[in-house]
Amino acid sequence: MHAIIRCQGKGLLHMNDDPRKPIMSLRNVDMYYEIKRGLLKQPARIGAVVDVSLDIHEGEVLAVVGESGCGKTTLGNVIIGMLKPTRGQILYNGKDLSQMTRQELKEFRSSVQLVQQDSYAALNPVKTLYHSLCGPVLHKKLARNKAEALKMVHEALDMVEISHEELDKYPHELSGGQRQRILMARAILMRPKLIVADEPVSMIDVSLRISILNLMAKLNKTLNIAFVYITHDFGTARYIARNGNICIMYLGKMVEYGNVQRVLEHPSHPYLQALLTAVPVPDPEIAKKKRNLPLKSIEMPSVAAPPPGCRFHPRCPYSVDICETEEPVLLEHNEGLCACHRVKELPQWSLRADR
Amino acid sequence: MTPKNIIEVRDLTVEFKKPKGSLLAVNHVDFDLREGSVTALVGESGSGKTTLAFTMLNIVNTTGKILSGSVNYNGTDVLKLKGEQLRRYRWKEISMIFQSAQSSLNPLMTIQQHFWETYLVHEPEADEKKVIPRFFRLLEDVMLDPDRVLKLYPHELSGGMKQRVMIAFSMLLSPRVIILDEPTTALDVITQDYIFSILDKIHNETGISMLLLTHDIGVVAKVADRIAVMYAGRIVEVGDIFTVFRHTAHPYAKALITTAPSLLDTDKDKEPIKGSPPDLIDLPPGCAFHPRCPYATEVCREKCPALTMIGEDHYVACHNSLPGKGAAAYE
Repeated sequence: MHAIIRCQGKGLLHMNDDPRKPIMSLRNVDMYYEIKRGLLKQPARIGAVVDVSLDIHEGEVLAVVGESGCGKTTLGNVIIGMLKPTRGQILYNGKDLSQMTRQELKEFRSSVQLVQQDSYAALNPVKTLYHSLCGPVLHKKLARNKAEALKMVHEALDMVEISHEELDKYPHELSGGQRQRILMARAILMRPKLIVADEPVSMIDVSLRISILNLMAKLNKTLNIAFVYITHDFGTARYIARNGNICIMYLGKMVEYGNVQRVLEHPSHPYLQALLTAVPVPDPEIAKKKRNLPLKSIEMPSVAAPPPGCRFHPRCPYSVDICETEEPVLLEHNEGLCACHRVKELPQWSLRADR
Repeated sequence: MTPKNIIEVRDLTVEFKKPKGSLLAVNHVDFDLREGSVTALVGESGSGKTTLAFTMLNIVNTTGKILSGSVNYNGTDVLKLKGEQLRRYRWKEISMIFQSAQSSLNPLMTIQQHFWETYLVHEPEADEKKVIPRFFRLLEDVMLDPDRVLKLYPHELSGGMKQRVMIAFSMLLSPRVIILDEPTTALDVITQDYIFSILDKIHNETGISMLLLTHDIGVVAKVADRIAVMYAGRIVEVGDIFTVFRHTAHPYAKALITTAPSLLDTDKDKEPIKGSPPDLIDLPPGCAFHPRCPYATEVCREKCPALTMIGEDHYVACHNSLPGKGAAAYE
C-alpha cells in the first residue's frame, strides 16, 4: 500500500496511502552539530540526524525509538522547530517552515507542542502553576481576559485529571506524575495539532507510568491530537502507539519504519532484531529462556565518526562487502521501510519464535 | 532440606530525622538472603530498598539512625562491627555496585591503581607483580581487554565498560555476596543484556549470592530466582520468582507486575494503580497501601498486616490475601 518515488536522487520520499493528510512532513532532513576542538583544528561535525524523511498524519501516534545517542531527541527538537536543520525541508500543512511569515510561524508554534522528560526543569520553580498555565494563554491572546483564561485552564485541568486547588501550588509541591500532567495541560491549552513527547514517563515512578500513557491516549482520542512519542522503551512504545507507526533510529539514521504491531512482531533490520532480543520481558518463564544476541560487538560506534557504508555493519552478523562501502537507503519491505542491503535474503525473525 | 541464609535481617528499623518529622525508610523489616540465590528487591524510589541494602554493609548515612534490629551475616551481627573488623568485612565478604557506578570510580586514578589500592588495604603483604595476573583474569571475565583497560582513566571508558570494570572490581576479593543497586538503569538495552549475561556467568561459576535492587520488572523476571517487593519501607511480598509471578498475592505487587508495559502485549488497556506513593513522613495508618488498594477493608485502615507464609517459600503482608479470608488478589 505504499508508493515510493525517487526524490531528486537523494534518498527516498515515502508516500503513504493514509487517507488522513500529513500535518507534518520532514524531507531529507539533516541536523549536524559542530563541535569546536581548538583554534586551529577543523571543528568536528556530528550528524545527530541524517537524511530523515517522515510524515506525521493528523491524529496519529508515532513512536520514535532508539538507544541513547541515536538522535531521537534532536529529531523531536527539529519537528517542533526549535532547531533549524542544516539541510532539508520541514513542511507543516504543506508549507515550508523556512518560508513562513511571522504570523504563520506564530500559529505553527502554538500548533506543535513539546512535553519534556524532566517535568521539574520544564516548569518555572518560582511561579505558581496558575502563572505557568494562564501566562501562555494570555500571551497568545487565546482568551480575552483573566476570567476566561482561568476557565480554559480549569477545563484543561479537568482533562488531565488534576484538581483545581493545585493551581496555587509551586512545582516542587507536586509529585512527578502530577507535574507531568501539568505539562500536558499546558500543551493542550495551545490547542495543538501535534504534541512531541520526549521520554515523558522515564522519570516517573513505575506505578504511575501507565496512568500518564493512558492520559496521552485519551488526549489523542478525544482531542484528535497527533503524538510523536520519543523513547528508548519498547514496552511503553508498543502500548501507546498500538495503532500507529514506529520509527527506529540508529546513529542518526532511520533504519526501519512501519506499523507498530508488524514491525515489532516481524522486524526486518538486523539492528532492531538485536535490540528486541535484548529487551527484558516481565514474565519469568519467557525471560529466562537463553537467547544469544545476534551481534558481533556490543560497543556502539561514536556518532562523531560513524562507520562508512552501513552504519551498523561492524556489529551486524550478516554484513558482507557491500555493507562496508555503500550506505543503504530506506526501501519498501514487508509493508514498511527498511534500510538494509540484505533485507530480502535475511532469515525470517519473529518476536515470539524463540521465546 | 531447608536452604541456608547467608544474610538474615531481623526487625530492622532505620529512621531519618527530617525537619518535618521522622521518616522510617526501613520499617520493622525481616529479610533473608538465601545462599547462592539471585534475589531481586523491587520497589519504587523511596520504598527503602537502598537503605535496606546499605545496612547490610553498615554504611547508612550519618543522618540515618538504626533504631532496632540486627543484620546477621554468617553468625556475626554486621551492625555491631567496628573499626578494623568492619573494614575487613566490607568488600571482602560483601561488595556493592552502587547506582551510579559511573561516578564510583576516582577520576584521578587508573583502573589498575583502583584495583591495587583496594587489594593492598586488605592484603598489606601483597606483591603487585604477583596479583596483576588476577586483575587480568577478572577483567577478562567481564570481556574487557586488560592490557588496555588497566592503564586507562575512568573518563576514557564508555558507560557500559565502566559498569563492567565495577563488576570486575567488586569480585576482586572474592566476596560471597554482591549487592547490585540498579546496575543497568543508565545503560541501553543491549549493554544491559550483556551485563546480565556476564553476571549470570559469574553466578553460575562461583555460586555467589546476589541481591539486585531495581524497579524494572522485566529485569527481575530475567535475572532473579527470588523476589521481594517493598512498599513504603516494608516488605509486602517475598517468594520464589515463579510462584510470585504466577500467584501474586499482594495487590501492590500484583499491580506492579501486571501494569509493567511489555514488549509482548498487543492490544490490552491496562488499569493504573490509583493515587500516588505515600509521604513517608506522614504514612497512612494501618496498611500503608490501603488508600490505593481496591480491596481495602476496615481492618486495613486500622492494623498493619504482618508478613505471613501462604505457601511454600511465599510470604505476603496483606489482610485480604490470607487463606480463608477471601483471597481478593487471587481473583
